[in-house]
Amino acid sequence: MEEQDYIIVGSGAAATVLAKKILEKNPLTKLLMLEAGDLIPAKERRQWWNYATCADGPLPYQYTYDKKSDNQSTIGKDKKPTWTTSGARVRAFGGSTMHWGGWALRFKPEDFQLFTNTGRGADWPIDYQELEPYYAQAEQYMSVCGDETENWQPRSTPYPIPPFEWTAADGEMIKAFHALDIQPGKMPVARYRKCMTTGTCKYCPYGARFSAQYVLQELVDNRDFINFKVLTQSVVTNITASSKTEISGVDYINNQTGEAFTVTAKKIILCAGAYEIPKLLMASTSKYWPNGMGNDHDLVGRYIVTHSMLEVTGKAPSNPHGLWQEYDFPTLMSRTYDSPEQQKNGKLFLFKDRTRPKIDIAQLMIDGMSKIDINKKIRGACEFKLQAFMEEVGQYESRLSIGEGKDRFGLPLTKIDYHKTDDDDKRADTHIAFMKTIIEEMGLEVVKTFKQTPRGDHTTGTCRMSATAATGVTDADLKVHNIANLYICSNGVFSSNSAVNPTLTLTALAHRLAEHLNQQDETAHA
Amino acid sequence: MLKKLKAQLKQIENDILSKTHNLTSLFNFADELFKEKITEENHSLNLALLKHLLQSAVTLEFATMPPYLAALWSIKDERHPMAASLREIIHEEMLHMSFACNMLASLGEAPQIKTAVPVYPGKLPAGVHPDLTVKLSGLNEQSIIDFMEIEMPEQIVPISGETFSCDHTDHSTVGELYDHILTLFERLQPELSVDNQISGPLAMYVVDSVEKVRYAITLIKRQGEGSHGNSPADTGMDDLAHFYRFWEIKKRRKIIQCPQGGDFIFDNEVLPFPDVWPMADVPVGGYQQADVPDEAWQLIKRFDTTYSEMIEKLHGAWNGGGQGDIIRAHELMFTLQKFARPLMAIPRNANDNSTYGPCFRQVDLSSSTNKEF
Amino acid sequence: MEQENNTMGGKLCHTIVAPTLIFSEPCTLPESQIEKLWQIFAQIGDHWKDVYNESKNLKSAWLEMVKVKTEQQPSYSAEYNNAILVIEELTLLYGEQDAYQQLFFNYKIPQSQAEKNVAKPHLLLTTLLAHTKYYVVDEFIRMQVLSGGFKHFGGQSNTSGEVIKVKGLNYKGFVKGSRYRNEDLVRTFEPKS
Repeated sequence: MEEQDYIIVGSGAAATVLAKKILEKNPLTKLLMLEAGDLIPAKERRQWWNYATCADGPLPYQYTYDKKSDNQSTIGKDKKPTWTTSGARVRAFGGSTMHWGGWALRFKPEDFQLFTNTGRGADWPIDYQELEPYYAQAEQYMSVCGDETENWQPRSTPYPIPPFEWTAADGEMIKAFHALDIQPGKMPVARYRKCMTTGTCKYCPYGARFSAQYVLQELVDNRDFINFKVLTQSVVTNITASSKTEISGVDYINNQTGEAFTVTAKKIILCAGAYEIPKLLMASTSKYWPNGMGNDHDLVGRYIVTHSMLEVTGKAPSNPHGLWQEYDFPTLMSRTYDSPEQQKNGKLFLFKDRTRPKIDIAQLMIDGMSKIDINKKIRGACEFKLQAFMEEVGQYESRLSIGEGKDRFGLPLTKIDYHKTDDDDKRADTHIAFMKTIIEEMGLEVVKTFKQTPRGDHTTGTCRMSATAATGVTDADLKVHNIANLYICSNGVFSSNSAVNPTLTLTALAHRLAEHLNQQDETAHA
Repeated sequence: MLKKLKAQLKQIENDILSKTHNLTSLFNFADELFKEKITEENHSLNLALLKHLLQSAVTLEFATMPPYLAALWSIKDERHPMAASLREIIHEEMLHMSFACNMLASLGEAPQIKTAVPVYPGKLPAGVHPDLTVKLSGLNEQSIIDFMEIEMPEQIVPISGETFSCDHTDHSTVGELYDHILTLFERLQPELSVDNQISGPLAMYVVDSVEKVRYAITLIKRQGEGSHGNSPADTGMDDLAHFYRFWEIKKRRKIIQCPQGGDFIFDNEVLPFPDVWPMADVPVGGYQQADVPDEAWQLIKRFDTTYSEMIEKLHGAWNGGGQGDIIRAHELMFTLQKFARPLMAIPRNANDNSTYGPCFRQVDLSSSTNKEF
Repeated sequence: MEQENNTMGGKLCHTIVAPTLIFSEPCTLPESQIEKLWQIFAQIGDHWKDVYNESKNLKSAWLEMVKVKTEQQPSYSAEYNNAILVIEELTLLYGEQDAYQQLFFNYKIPQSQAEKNVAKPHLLLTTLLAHTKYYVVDEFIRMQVLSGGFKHFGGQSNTSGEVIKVKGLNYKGFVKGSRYRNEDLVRTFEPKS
């Protein structure tokens, strides 16, 4: 294969934005995208009927999940793994937005100055204002439905689509929020106008929940992009350095045939996610980079952090209005405790569990219940659940590294040595105590609380942005420090994790990087 | 007499094949048939007429959607109340078409959609409003008048003492068409099959009895033209029939009802007209590649391809494809605006500041230059 | 091999088979078989009275489901043919009304210990009746509920158990409609003034 203008490793949310913007600017760009997973068809009718009607509701991409037996994270004091991976990501053409919930929230200005504000964690080398116009682009691109009048953060444009309104089942929690001076908000979600509210977002029959796969497929189908190629089942094993400050290409293996290939490129962008990128960097050793590419300061893989979910479940003695889940995403949320004032104590992003009250009418019928008994059960005792993401700060000691062995994609397994501080546990306890007051304000009896073991869905920090190479892996332009033509666009570059989902911020960063690269290319050709 | 009727039907069918038929000839034939009760001999004639009328209804309902869609997409702010009103109208037209398809399918006849796609600018199918030439253009004064003519009821309730008139005089209405359809169903009392019917968000229920046919037709007429001779309030002042909604847009005022007298007037408050793209009327035959910049051509081509795919799926839904096809058709319908809106932003090289617009052309999908998007 | 503890059915019903989907090649079911299968589906609405008039509104969606489940791998053709035969046997034994009554409300697929023992697959056995319940009846119930059957549940009821006030408008799997229609998509929060 001839030298490419770009190689993009990975094919998920970030990769797709970059490919789209680069190709739209110059359709003849030689762009090779390498994806370890396979193409899993979307909107396929049999798959949808399987999901909707089979006992276990199978989804066609579940086989790509990390296996529980592949978990090589360290064991904590409670004798359980400190980190879990299974179910957190999809390895396939289009990446993890195949299975995401579509919650699309911006970080807030204070998130970009975590260290300055709190003395913990790190500051980003860019601020919110710098990223704001790209947030606007990302919201337009992902068709985010939201309510800009809620004023959670400064914004220059309204949301492209109005929000999904609160459901009746949100009612009691909204009242409790008001009573406790918590501002209720409407969850911004990435849904195209064609959403038919089927509640099967995990495999949307209309392609209404944003998924990078749809965009990527359009790019592949576009005959104008004659030099654009996506190779699936292609595992990148090494990045080749031609000097200390330049890379020349990558080595990859075709998983179907086992053949190994080398391809060169002027620029490489790593978009393979917060797990695979640091492992790839660490594996790419050479005389120029004996500790792995970009890893002279032993920071690749460090500061790994995610959001642990906190839950408090309350029991209502009855459900007089016979309410149940009607959307497959939460509509009620609050960012009152995702604020500058709360940042010192660790932020908290609250939302109502979309699945409560949990009523499975079909299962009750399958169990042989009569209609009258089913209605009694529906209107009987039920649960409501308040959930939250708690902001955590990545520790130097927390580290992702290459594990032993390989998974079914030929990717090296992942070892995670995750450390929490005692403060984190105390903070979680404080948050749960607070969440209990909300449940009790609803008039419910608290029946269960839960602190999730960190799961990799929102992993960040493994290649974090920094002002200097001594404090991070990538610079403000997402270029690996001291390497002229290697970029990273992944949640891994986040310098802090905020308390909200990372995908909108990642998409904004991708828009920004694409603009930067296009300007560079324009200057180079001028 | 029977022989004469059979000959009349044959003529009508020849006209249908040559696409020169009109409702007047169908209604005249109906009038002849209705002079006699249903007999074994004339049963097939009545049934054949019913099927032809239903197919006309399918084609007609479909034909209104492209011009309404073009007008909708020309509105820059998708959240503008007039955009919301237009969107509801289009949804209801889709519902009407689905009902017409279901009624036809209930008789064991497959609705023809892809073989009866209208061309714009052009006349409405089946000679409805024969003096009206329907164009594809943005929302403007003339298009609103045209839309009102399409939806014109048999009797118009005056608003603020005004009535609506246009230059054209021949106004055989869609309402009359449905009246004849209902009469035939009631005469024939046929056994209706649900097998190839579709129900869902844009096809509320299947028709498995003449009673359901009656409900469907009542709904279609109320939504389109309003209740026969009665007040716009029958459908609800927030849910006016299409004719009156277009009138509100034309007058830039909501229609309200006086508290005591019950008269209808235009409200004093002026509704702002939305900012629209100045889409030019799409020329006869649509835009050709040689005449437009490449940027516009790419969008025009992709629009036509997606539109043609949508038609295939819509047709397929009632021709064996079922639910899977209608879901795909809905999805493609939403995809159309992805091409239409940017197209409407591209200025033409004319001196009138106008912009391009979608041509709604049916293209050959098997051709290598056309591809699914 | 473990015996089931449910005595409903006759010789066909109690035929022992593996619990996984009975293998069959993808094929199009003949209309006569589809109609018989449809009767099984329609009985769900009749017994739970959770369709407005009868099940006909759901037929187009049901036909699509049956089509994709039989014409694509792994095919349900054999399961559907089996279910028709099982129902015929049950009808012969109990009469139609009672057969469905028992199948829907009394029959439970036996949960044997062996079914949890994945290391010994030769012990994972079940019956054709259980197959009918698991692969056909249960899936038809899920389909029926998501396609509209849910509408007759929920909401407020009077003392006789009849639902009198706003029932569910949406449910997982139900194609409710786009966001720009007149009617509400879901039961929305109504703040009291």
